[in-house]
Amino acid sequence: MKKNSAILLFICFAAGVGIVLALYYKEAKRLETPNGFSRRLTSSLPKIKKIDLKYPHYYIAGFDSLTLYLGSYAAPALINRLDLRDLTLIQQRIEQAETLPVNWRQSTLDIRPPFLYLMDGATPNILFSRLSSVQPIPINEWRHGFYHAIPVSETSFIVCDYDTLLQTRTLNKIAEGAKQKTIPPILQKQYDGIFCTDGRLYANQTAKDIIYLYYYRNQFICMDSALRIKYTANAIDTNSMAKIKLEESQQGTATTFGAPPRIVNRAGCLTEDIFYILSNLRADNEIPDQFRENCVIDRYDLKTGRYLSSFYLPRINNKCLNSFIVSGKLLIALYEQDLQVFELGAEDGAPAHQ
Amino acid sequence: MFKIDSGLFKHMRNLVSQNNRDDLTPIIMKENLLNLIVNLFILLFLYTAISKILDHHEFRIQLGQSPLLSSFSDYAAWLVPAIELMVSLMLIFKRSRLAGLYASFALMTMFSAYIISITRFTGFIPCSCGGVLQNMSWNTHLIFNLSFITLGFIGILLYEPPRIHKPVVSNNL
Repeated sequence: MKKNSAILLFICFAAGVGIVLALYYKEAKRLETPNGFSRRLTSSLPKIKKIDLKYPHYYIAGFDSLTLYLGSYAAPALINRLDLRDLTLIQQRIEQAETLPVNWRQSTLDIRPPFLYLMDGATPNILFSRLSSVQPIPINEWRHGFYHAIPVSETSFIVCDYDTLLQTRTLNKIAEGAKQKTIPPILQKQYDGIFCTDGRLYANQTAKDIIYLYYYRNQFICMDSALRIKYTANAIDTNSMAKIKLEESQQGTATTFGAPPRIVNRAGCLTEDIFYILSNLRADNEIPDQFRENCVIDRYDLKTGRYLSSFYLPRINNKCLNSFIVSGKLLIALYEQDLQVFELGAEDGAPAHQ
Repeated sequence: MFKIDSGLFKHMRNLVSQNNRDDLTPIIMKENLLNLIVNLFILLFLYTAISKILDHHEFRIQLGQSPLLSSFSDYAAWLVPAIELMVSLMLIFKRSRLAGLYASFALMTMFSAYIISITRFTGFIPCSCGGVLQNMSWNTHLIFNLSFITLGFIGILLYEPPRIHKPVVSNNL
């Protein structure tokens, strides 16, 4: 190989890598710009155990003080029970799953012991069973399509669905198969009504408190199980308006993001007195390198929505957790294919009497 | 004696012809391999550039969703297929073929570096390569690109000796 061609090859290589590096550092710099808020960070939580689930398709379906239930997107008729005392995993199949009137590809499990719900918002259908027998039966004449639903009693649900008149996501209560419309609407439309209001419903074990957490703005709404608003609170960051850019597809049939959306809140979890938010934004008093290696969870007082403090959970394989639950003294975080169990200290929200 | 001589002669002739074949085969093989590499690159760039242009609207949206290219998506959506077309033209014409090989090498290096850096940012990132290539996972994609970088490298190496036949002296004899 001639010297000239070696030099030319090197120049080509450097040019290729250089252009991308420049783009990369431009974006990395942008991510480090101050966000205009600060956190009260407490020490990170001690790790208790890591459980390798081997596959990345699990989601948290529910829990009680003894068991964590996992659903699987790849095997939707499978219930995975994780014993919280000895941390062993047992699998159970829903009986005669193939005969049930749901589309398994789009249905998810929601387990509120002693009941199990099979949610399919597109067909739509909700099936219901006792956890002891696992023989789900449809809830009579379910006609309401929904994005997301959570049970608040044996047969009543809070659903997040689409209001065709107002052209926005709304929250409604469905009890005994009948929809009780919430007037005025609880969710506030900012742009399009679908993307700007996107978020998730969370309830605590007693279902006394329901929280809707927006993904793209610093807001959460606390309600009771009849959807009466207790308060609307702001998370500590400054994003009161959703920062999203939308594009229509060529045929005008679908809307999608035109730029990476600014996700503010990634997930939440609700106990009887604390609301935890997995935040996506770095506070100005956090060290960028430390923030890159961890995920941050903020604690809010459930009674008032007031910010209390924050703590870090480590990334695993450079990945942040997807979702988490708090049960007694344990915080269980689901990473792609790992469950990591942490122990909460008294200042992080573990009940004082335990 | 005569028989042995003729045997020796035959053997010698075989050796000579073998030697000649040894001289020529690599050159023909090199030529074929180089043509194959050049044609593969032309096929790759033409295919992806055309599918990007045909589906330009989607391509622009996808670039907009990329954290690295979001702010330049309007320009990049034309620039990338234009460069790909230009490089395939350079490869088609013999006079610019070597330059085209260098450009292909640089372009594939750039695409690979892009894949590596984009997987460092979390979030939903669609691939914008165009056509069926879109269905590859990021890892498969990286391997695909790295093999094309290797091909480009081999192509440049093969192009190196000017095509004047130089007799090769074999050490085996």
